[in-house]
Amino acid sequence: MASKVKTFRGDGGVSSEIGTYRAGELRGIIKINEADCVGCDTCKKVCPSNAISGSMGEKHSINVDKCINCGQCLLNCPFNAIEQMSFVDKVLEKLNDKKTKVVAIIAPAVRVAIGEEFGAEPGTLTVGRLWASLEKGGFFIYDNNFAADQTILEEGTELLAKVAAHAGLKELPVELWGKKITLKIEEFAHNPLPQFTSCCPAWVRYAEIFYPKILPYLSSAKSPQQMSGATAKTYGAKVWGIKPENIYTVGVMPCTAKIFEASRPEFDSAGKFLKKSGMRDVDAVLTTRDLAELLKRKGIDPMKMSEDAGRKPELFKSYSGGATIFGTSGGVMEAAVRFAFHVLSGQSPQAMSPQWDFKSVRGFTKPIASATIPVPLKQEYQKAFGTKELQIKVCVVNGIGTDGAHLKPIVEDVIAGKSPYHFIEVMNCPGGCINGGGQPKHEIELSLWDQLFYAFFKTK
Amino acid sequence: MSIKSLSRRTFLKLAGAGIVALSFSKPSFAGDTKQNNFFETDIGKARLKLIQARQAGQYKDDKIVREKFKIAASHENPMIKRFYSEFAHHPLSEVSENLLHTHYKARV
Repeated sequence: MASKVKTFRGDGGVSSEIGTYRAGELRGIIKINEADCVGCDTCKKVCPSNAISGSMGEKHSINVDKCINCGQCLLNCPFNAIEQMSFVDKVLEKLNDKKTKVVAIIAPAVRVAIGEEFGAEPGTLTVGRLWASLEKGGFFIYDNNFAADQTILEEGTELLAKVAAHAGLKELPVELWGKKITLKIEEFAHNPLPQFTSCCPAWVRYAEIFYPKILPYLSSAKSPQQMSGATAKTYGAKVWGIKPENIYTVGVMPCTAKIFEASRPEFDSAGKFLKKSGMRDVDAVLTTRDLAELLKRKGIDPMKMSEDAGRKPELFKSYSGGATIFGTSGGVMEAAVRFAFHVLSGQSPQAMSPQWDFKSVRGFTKPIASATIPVPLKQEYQKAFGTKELQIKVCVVNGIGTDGAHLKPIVEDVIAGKSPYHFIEVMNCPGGCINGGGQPKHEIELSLWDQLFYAFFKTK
Repeated sequence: MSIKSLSRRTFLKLAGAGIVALSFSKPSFAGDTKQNNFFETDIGKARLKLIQARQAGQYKDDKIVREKFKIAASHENPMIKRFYSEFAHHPLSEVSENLLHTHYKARV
């Protein structure tokens, strides 16, 4: 059974630029409660950005300017001394407001973990019953896996455009759904390779603070959460036949950094597109834990519902196998490679074909996975690229690592111009989003020795 | 230096360090040193089972989606085709650039 994580009520973002925060951004999403901290130092050992100070036995504290909001400290704290900003109350208010359509954007990793909050084994798949629970609670569904597919179409095409432009092509014909479009790609010759993924908001903030030189390498594609918000209020509003200003979008994320991401000032693109001011793409973010709390307060238990009955591949619910593995390290990479393989080779294997499995890019519990993937080219591309087979070189960073331990050598190679890769996936949390800072927390079992040791600290 | 001039905090720190040094058992959280591979640290090892169980859930869903709905890759999602044909036209279109792409900000 999962254990409780303390939360505090979120308010607005900062009123003007301060430190590493821009106006409107949420600051201090993760907080150490000094009363509960015994100074065991565990949090420091898992912090990717070296943001925590305090020696052994002293109260620890977080430097918000370095903090990337990943919540790894919170997950691993043996004393439940670390707290998270929560918007559960705000979302409940919106659910009670009859004229508002509250849309839940459910991330891939939530469906393999939320069951734990209701007594299920870790990894229990909860899709149909999660949708049904949310609908019972008054939400409409925009599965973030649908947005993961949007992300692959955008980010994958962007990657192909860069690779082609760097190979000297000025135009790239892309055939999708039996239709051919020709993309003008000259400008992509100025975008450097390798391309980094941009789905992980902790990694994006890490790059912005510690490696600004790497920013031109990041894919310009938004994260699935932000694509969902922007699409729901434009295309979604049209399909649903409701006013965009009556839509309230709620990210349901395995992640505490997503809470921050939604508050970034540039994420008001639906409003800009529709020429309406004051509209956010994503209005609030709940972690997996927050959603469990909300459902419990409403007396809804997803584990008591049918998993299969509710699983219908409707608009905003239908998703691919590639999309659902976004939540595990190497998943975004594999989804992108599946797409690139189809476009470049022109082949469409059967859905269950092992040709769609690119197991060499799966991170599992390795700190780094890298692979060279041979992709046969269809005739049209053979001429353009001057080869029959493209060797796509990819790398997966499975967790930034303590003080950047996994990531730094990879990024520094890129900056030095020595990187062999075309595409690099970075996920802040070891294992991927499934081990994100917003996921159900389990008691950390301490040895008798540790218990005695910390009891001694606690006497202070 | 008399024992009185030691602050209580410093005393506790020294005493704590002494206990660690004296221990022959392999302390887990208390004595974990920084290593390059998270998964080989004691903290990482303690999380392996949970990480693996949830990862298995993800690949199980991949299998279900492919078996039941026949969608392995993103472009095969019929609703994605619908989204582009009714609204965004094609990847990297002007609509996509406006709604689905962004930029980054150095924070130094």
